[in-house]
Amino acid sequence: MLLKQDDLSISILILLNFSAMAPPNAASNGASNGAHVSNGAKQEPAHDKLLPAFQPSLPERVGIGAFKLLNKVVPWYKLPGLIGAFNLAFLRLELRQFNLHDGYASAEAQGNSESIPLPDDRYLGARHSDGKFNSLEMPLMGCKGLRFGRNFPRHMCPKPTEEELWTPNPRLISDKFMARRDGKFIPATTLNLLAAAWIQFQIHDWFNHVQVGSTAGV
Amino acid sequence: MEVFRTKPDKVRDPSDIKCPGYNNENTAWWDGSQIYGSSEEATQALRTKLPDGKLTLDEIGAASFLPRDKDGNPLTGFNSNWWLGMEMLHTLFALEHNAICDALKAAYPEMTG
Repeated sequence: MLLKQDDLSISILILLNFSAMAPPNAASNGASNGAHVSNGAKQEPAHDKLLPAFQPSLPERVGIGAFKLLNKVVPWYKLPGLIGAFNLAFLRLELRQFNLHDGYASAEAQGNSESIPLPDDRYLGARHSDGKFNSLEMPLMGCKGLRFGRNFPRHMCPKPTEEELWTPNPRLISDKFMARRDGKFIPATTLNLLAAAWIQFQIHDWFNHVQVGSTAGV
Repeated sequence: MEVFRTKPDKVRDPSDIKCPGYNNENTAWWDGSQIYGSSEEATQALRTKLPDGKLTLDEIGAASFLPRDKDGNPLTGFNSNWWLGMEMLHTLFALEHNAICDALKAAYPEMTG
């Protein structure tokens, strides 16, 4: 059986922390992956500091703070529809600031309106198959073949050593979480197979890392 | 079970040696690339058979199914790790796409396909 590593790691992520797939996080990642660099000049190689790469404007920061206070009393999904939608929009801004980091050292890889001009005005309103031109300022943002964004700054994500890669061993994780206890089936009480299919379907919209030994070229 | 390693991108910056980046074969946007594909060729190839911009579906009896290649793999935007759940959702979205094509055609008969 061949399994794409991305599906495997996502399913482990879901097992460990289902809240990672909750709407606020998902909304942020889906809409602006790889998109955090608002200004190339700000992106200095200050590898010792955890610098937010995307800075919300002052009104946006006020909104983030206001909803944060409100959410101590009422969560976003219990607010009236439109207000709840605004709440999600501000959660997205905050997540974009602190939880979304470029996979590149500089924003140049995302291109600009001069280096990658719009080939046809129809892409102002229509989908480009390669995923280009969703941002007109950085036309390559999130397009096919670009590096996938990260949830942590790059300098905190060094390539793991062989030992780190196997610690903890995936089989140990599997045994801890998946093995039947006392020979008894453990039912999933919070989600069904339809949720598994839907999440996998969304992941397939989102990313598929180039693999060693994979024949699919980019 | 075989799990392949992720391939690091080529070094574009000295920091990439310690902290490599990993390329994405999909569009990172939630833009339906699993249904339509992540390249213009892939999108076009899925829309050749039926008129009015519809996705190709094979009719078997009264039901419509995703088309298959010669090895029996489904032809859609992203067909790895296939199982019944994927078959269901990909078919549902292809049918919905085609239903919207019909609705648009009915509402705007002057538009070309």
